[in-house]
Amino acid sequence: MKSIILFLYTFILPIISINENTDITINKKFRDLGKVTAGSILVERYYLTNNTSTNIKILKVNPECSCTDFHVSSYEIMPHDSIYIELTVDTTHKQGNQTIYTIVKTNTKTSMHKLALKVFVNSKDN
Amino acid sequence: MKTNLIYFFIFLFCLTGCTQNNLDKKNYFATVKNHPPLNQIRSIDLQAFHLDQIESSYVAFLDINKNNILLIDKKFCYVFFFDKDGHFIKRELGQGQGPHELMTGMIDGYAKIDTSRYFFIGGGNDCHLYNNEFEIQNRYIINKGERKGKANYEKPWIYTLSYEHLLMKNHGEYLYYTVFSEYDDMNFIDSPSEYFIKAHYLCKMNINSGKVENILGKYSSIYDEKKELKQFSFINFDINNIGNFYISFEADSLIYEYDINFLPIKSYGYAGNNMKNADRVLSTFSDFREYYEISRNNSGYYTNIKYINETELLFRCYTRGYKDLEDGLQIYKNGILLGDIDVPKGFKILGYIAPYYYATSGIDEENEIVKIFKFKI
Repeated sequence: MKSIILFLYTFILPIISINENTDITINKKFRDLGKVTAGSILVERYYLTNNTSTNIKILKVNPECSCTDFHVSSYEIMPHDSIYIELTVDTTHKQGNQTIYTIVKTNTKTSMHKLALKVFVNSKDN
Repeated sequence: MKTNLIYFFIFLFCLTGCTQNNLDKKNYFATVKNHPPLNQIRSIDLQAFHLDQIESSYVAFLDINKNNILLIDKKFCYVFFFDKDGHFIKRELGQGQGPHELMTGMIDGYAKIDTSRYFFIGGGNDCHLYNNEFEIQNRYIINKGERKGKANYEKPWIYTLSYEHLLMKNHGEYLYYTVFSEYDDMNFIDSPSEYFIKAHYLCKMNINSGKVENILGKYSSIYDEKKELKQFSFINFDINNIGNFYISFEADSLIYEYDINFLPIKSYGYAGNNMKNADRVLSTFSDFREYYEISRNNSGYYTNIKYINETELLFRCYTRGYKDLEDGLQIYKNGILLGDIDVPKGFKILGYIAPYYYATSGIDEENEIVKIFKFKI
């Protein structure tokens, strides 16, 4: 019995722990693009890397603003591989400080991820 | 002759209407009574620390409840609990349809209800009430009453939640939250003179039914007098444990106290140190689109107010304007100013866990850092 517990502590629990805590990394999920002119179309690509040994699924990509369109290179991320989500933001009708959010859901313990794009939109007249 | 008489009566009617409105408004404010400031508190020793790193959007409300620091994640709909030193304890809720989840896309407003329940509001006026174990107790949409008759400032349905500066506080079975009107001509850009005399800024909603039972408060007369203050018309407020309200307008140095029935008790307050005056009059929507943020960044105004029941101290923070590296904090007791001191920019009092007061200078979203301060007085 003791040896089973020891086996669990030594081999199984660390694996679970790794899967739970370091499932996905996103390269720079908060980006500040500085000043842009109203009407500019912004295209940003976010890479998501699977740090686990199992496949990860992208369940949902949810831009909060109707100004944002998205493209996902693959809805499944293989172990230790990466995919990208490309956001296209239309800044027409925007003005001043804007932070545009897109929420991504995955089938991992940390199931929610934020992609943020901060800009200061100048009017065309300036 | 007949026509002249009609004109005369119309004139008289208008005159009575205006006078009545002004009289009504005067009834909302107690006479100002300022005691000499004591200046007992000249500085505070701030002990800074960070909350433990968590998997959060870092777009969040911060609060103190009992002995915990709470981070309410607006985007992911989680509630994170930390101990009084900022160490992570547990996570509750999250988006979803289950009994322990929050069925909304995003949290726009939050209030703790009598320290043992939690209230959240989503983007569609959808309200969600949870018990202490984060089990759903009630869900409903805010009921502002039937949209009938002509719109006027006494109809709750003309008001919308003040999303940019939404404050929600509870007392008893009611939730009080900040509102404004963007209804047709009944808004502070198109008709500021009328708006700042007639409009209300606070809704009183029954937390069990979601029914708006009253609309409260009238704007300070400073907004009638100074046209350059329109862009500083958000309200800050708090409620103490016997139901008294503490109201602070962004542009007004006075603090207005009201009782549980919103009858005025007293008015007092001193202007913050070295606050830069607003210098730009914004008149049109176009002006607001262009200069609103610039004007707010460059000018001084009062940013938040917090009453601590345990020590009966009232804290009010203010920003001085863009170039100043520090904000100000005023500390009042029974209407007397005990001190006006420099604090870090974005300073906001969160609450009290004896013997410390807790505050924050905001959330650094990019670097995912939540800075907390604690101090004694």
